[in-house]
Amino acid sequence: MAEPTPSSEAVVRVAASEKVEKVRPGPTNVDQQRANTLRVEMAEKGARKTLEDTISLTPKKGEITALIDENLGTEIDPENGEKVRKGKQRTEHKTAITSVDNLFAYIETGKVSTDNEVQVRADIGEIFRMYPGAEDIIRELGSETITDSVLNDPEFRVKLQERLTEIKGKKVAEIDPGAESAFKEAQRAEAAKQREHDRLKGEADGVRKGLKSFDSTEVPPGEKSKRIDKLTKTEIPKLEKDSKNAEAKIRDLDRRIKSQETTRAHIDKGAVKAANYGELIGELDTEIANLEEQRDEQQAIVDTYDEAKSEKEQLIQEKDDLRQRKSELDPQEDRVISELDELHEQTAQAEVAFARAKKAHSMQEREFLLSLEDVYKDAAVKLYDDRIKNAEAAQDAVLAKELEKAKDGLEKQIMDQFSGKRWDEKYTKHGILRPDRQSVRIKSDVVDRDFAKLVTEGPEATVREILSSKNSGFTAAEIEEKMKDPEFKKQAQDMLVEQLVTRKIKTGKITESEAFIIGTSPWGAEVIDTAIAKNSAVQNSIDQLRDIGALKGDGVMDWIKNHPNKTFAAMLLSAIFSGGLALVALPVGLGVAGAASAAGGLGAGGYGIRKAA
Amino acid sequence: MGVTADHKEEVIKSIVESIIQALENSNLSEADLPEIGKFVLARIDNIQTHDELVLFVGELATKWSVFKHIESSEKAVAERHDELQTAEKIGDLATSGRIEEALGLAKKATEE
Repeated sequence: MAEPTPSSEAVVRVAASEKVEKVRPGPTNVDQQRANTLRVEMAEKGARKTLEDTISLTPKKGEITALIDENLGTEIDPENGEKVRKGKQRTEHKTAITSVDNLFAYIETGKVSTDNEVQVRADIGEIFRMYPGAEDIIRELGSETITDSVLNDPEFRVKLQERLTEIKGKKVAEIDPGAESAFKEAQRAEAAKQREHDRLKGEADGVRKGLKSFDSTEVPPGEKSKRIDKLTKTEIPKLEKDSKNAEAKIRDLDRRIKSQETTRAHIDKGAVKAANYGELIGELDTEIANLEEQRDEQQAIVDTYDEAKSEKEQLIQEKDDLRQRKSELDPQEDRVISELDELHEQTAQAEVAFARAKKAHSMQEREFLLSLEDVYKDAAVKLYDDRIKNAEAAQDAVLAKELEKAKDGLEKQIMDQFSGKRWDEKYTKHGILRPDRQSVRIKSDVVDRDFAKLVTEGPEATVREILSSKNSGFTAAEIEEKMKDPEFKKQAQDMLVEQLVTRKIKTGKITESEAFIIGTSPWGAEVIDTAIAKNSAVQNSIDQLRDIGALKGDGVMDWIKNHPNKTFAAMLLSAIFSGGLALVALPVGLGVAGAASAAGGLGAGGYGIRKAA
Repeated sequence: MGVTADHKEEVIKSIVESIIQALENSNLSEADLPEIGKFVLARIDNIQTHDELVLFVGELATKWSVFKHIESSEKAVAERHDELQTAEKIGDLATSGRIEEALGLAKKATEE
């Protein structure tokens, strides 16, 4: 029976297969953009190649621009759901998009856009200058040569892509929507409480103002207090007295009026009218009117007394009412003030939280923008650092081969002295953002001492001095025995020169004249020749220089003596022994096309040369 | 049961399709892709048998659950293959007159 072919059956069940046929218009975010890219790539190149490409995930321009859209700006237009960017934010977004356009144009074509060429060159130059000795090389060759060597190097474009891959992971977190709504809610609650407080305070202020008018302790005393005082002490007692008199008078006047009215009625009702009836009646009416007028006057005095009493009572009542209202309002006002304070504090806290959220977002935005702005600088650092690392690894490999040549244990021990142990020390590099790690630094005092000996007395004297030093552990007999072996002696001296010069260059303290002495001494020139022969990248660069006639004469000593560039010897040493900046810059500066990439194995490193004092 | 090269390519296609769908549904992030790519490509070409394939997709689904359905599919294929093999054996036993053995095997397969 034939084996079942699982191919179609197993895969047909994959739920994804039908949905992925649809291509959504436009990227909505980075992941969506990647999904779209994968779909297109799978159709064009097949699934396996697509999967292979995911390992390196070289970023696409659309992915970076999608990330810029996603990362920059927070305000969303409710009508179309798109980001609203104004003023500075709009400019930054536009600049970022343009810079990415230019960047990808460079990555694809190797040509820098004229729009940003000045800036790109400035960025690369800035990084180059960070490495010791760079200024000397720039002075000799010109900064354009240095930037050309980087811009024409395909490896630089790879580094840019690597940097873009890192940038692609920089997603700016959105401002916490809870922080904004909490702040707005706190503001609303505080405003409502403030209105309640204002209303209460308005009423309480009125009450306080009213009570102040009754306060006799105020200076001057309150108007109503003075009024009560006056009524109590002066007006009412006087009016009371007047009123009593007036009441007595009223009673008398009432009696007299009644009497006159009785008389008048009697005359009026009389059967026989007196001859002077009219006159009598008139007189009585006048008298009654007169008495009534007097009575009214007295009544007015009584009324005034009553009114004064009433006024006093009303004032006291008003005062009592105000006190009562005050006793009600005071606790209410205290409570509302306390609540308002609490809400104010809450609003302040919510405002701080919101401000922090905005600040955090803004800082991430800044960081993201900065990473785009600095992409050329960061790539240049990667390029240089990697080259240093590669050069050092190549040198270590050469050194390991040299050590293998040791014929016996003693030779090995002696060679070990010149393999670096003498000048290097291990130490723990404490990291802030990364774990502590072991690192190596150069003991520059020992290097300076040995180097001074080498330059002034040559390699044999230096080898002997190092081996004879107190802690070397070798006996004089052992040293003499080994130094009698010409093969071993040469090997030890060559290693000393290589390793010591390498470290001296790394300290950035080798002078042009010291380099000249080494390059033009028989032992130095021989070591340089050997080093060139051992390293194909160096050999390649030297061949190119020789081909264009940049190196005059036969051998290192002639090249150095005949070269017009003062720093040539130092740069040659740097290039050969330390994979320094010089090897990349040197051939390019002398007009060798493509020399930078040819020298890529050694590269532009961080070692330098200083001018002689 | 051996695994054909074509079937491996079909599995890779399923994996990529699942990745696309998972990216769209936010079940995977772009940052996961290099690790997935390395995991798959480092193993799949060394797989010889379907059992190994099932083991591989099982590991894949354990690391990233979005591939669970691929594991299920491959397990189903393995089970079906076992069933077909058993049926074939029963047929052979019956044809050669070993009816008792054929019935025993059929019973056992049914019980399983």
